[in-house]
Amino acid sequence: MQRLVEIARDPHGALREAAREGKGVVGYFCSYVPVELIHAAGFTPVRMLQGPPPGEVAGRYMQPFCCSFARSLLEGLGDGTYAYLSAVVMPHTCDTIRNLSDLVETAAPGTRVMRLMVPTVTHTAEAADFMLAETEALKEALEDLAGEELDRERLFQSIRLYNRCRDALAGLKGSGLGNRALYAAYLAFQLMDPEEFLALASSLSRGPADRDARAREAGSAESGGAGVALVGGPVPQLEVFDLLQEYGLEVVWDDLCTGSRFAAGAVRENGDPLRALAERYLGRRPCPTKRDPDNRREEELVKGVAAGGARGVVFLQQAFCEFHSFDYPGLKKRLDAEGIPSVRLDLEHPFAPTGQMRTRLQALSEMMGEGR
Amino acid sequence: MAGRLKLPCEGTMKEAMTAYYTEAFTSDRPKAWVTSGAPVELLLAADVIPIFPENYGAMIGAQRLGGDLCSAAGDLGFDDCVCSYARCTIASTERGEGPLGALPAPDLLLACNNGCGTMFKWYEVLSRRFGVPLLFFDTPYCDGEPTPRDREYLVRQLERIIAELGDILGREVDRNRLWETLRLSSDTARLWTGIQELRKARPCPLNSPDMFLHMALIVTLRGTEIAYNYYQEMLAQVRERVEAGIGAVEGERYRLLWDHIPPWYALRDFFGFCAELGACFAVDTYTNVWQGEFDPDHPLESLAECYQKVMPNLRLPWRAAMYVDYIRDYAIDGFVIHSNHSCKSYCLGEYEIARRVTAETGVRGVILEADMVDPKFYSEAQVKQMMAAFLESLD
Repeated sequence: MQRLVEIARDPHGALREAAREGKGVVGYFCSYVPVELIHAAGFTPVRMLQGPPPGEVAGRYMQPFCCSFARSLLEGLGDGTYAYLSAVVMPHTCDTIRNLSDLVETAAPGTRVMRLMVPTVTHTAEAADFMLAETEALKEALEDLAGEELDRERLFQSIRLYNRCRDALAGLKGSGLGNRALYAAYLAFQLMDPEEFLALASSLSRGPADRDARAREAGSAESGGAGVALVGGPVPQLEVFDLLQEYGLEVVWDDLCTGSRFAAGAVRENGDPLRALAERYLGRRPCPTKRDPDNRREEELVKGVAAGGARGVVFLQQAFCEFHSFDYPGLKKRLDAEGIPSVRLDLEHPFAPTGQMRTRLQALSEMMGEGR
Repeated sequence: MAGRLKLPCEGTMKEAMTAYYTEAFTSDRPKAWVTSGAPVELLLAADVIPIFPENYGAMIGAQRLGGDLCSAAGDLGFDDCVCSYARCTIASTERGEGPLGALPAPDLLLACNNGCGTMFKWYEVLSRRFGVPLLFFDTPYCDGEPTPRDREYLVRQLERIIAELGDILGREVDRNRLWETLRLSSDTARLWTGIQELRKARPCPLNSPDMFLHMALIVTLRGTEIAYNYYQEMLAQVRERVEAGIGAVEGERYRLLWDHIPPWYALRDFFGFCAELGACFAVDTYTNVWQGEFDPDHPLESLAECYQKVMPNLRLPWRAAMYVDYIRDYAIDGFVIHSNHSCKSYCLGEYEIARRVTAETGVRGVILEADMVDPKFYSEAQVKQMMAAFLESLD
């Protein structure tokens, strides 16, 4: 467990070392990037989750009203934190990440940028075909970087490996590991070699006694708090989960970009592998940057709360994230109608728990107690 | 404060816009709310009245109702990082307040994300609020020209939208009427481009605030005889102005480029202040967005391409090149960039564009922080001080 926590807190040392040893590392900016493709091309895929606090580089290129998540990543690309990367894959997600793709090559000269135009629509035949065509283009770019063709069997091997990793993660959910350990595992999955991750995650699923011991090893508080569901974008800071634990809130379900939205759903292991990837990535519960004609996010939130036995919801948003901010009033209204208390915390990098956050969590904790 | 020199045709435009809004509020014909960058030609060809909440947002801003309505949107749960056009019009709908009250409820919605991703989020909120269908046109970020896969995706979407529009209305969209609408839209866009071209004259016949006013019809009614006739009249009058050597700003001293949507609440005050100092905005990126021309032999393909290639949907190198061309073609002395708190799509990259443009042309610029509708992000004294210092530095 300790290794997963270390990776979740600071992945750069291990990745730098891997790159020095000749194992290429490719960064990717969001959960719509088919990591299996990067892995099959011979690279370790690493999610771009947290650079240094935004400073000179970010200030030179980005307005302060852009989220600190994106600003921190540009800072890290510009100041050399991510110098070990062979390339970065930048998908079309929000307007900020879309436009950032044009700034990376200037802020971090020499960085190879591969663009992936993920369609905003996920439910139509033409969107599926477009995603497939974009996935094929990404495959070609990765082949060019690797200097060799990527064969079908290798791609299936990577697909199987990532499916096993997702299974292993699913096995950890609801296992009483505690917030910190569970989300350290989620984050580490996105930040390290998947084979090593699979070995570590599998060893964690051995038995309840072991799990508790490993949770303590990870620094998680004891499990058994009041169940909450989390909704939001990327949450790379483990301290957020510690804060929830401080108020006796144990995460039982999530719709986080770095949580289940990233990890849920397997890729089909037969047929055309590229089509299988396109289907899995477009078919997931949509993130706020995608069209959601059937209001799946809202429906699945209510179902997830019920299924997980959550008594409250915490919205975890990156401050200045317009896409999440558009969804928030509707989701909140639905929760209110269902009698489910919720609070919202706006996250900045670096993370520091504010008095307002504490007050809100305290209030939620009390409301959840009253609803018992 | 320097007054704006009006064109005689402005009365015609006011009549046209009054008639348009009267019809929108009173007609039994189906109504669609539509984003300014969406292919409105589809609606016009289907005899649907298009209503533009962005235009209404501009009106709310210009009448200085934006502060109250944005604040009301906050009470509904929409925080300040949400586009102020969206915030103020959502609040206008809920409260029944605005320059004309609440806009008439739509029967359907048409959105395109070529301006920003904000559009489809905003329209999803509206779709749920009104319980009406949303037709959405997804335009991938464009690297100068559409890729073959972009083209296929775009055209297939247009075919779907046309079919779904027919399903919603209970009658098929008449393709011949659509082609005729596209032809009229192209002809109108050509007139608008012709007017923009005349701004190269020295002195410049039209300042950007003039264009912000005159753009109303190219946005709302391109593809109709009303807009076509209006811009014919306007083109002739601007040409006369150029031939007579009449400038929009008396004693034109500085020729500037304006980038972005203006802060509507400060339109007269800010541009009037600049005009008093002899600054005329001879070109702007915003009103040049409506320029697409369609190929009658490949109508849907060209429709797709035109709407994908609008300026905010172009990658940064293309946008920067466009600014450089404007600066050279319009003999610009300096550029003013509005860093609009509401609009990450249009704004993120501005700092770099400014550097590239200055490096290539030697022309310098200034970046003003504000918002298009919400006045709390605007500091009048600071902006004016900055502009005065900037203009002085151009001497």
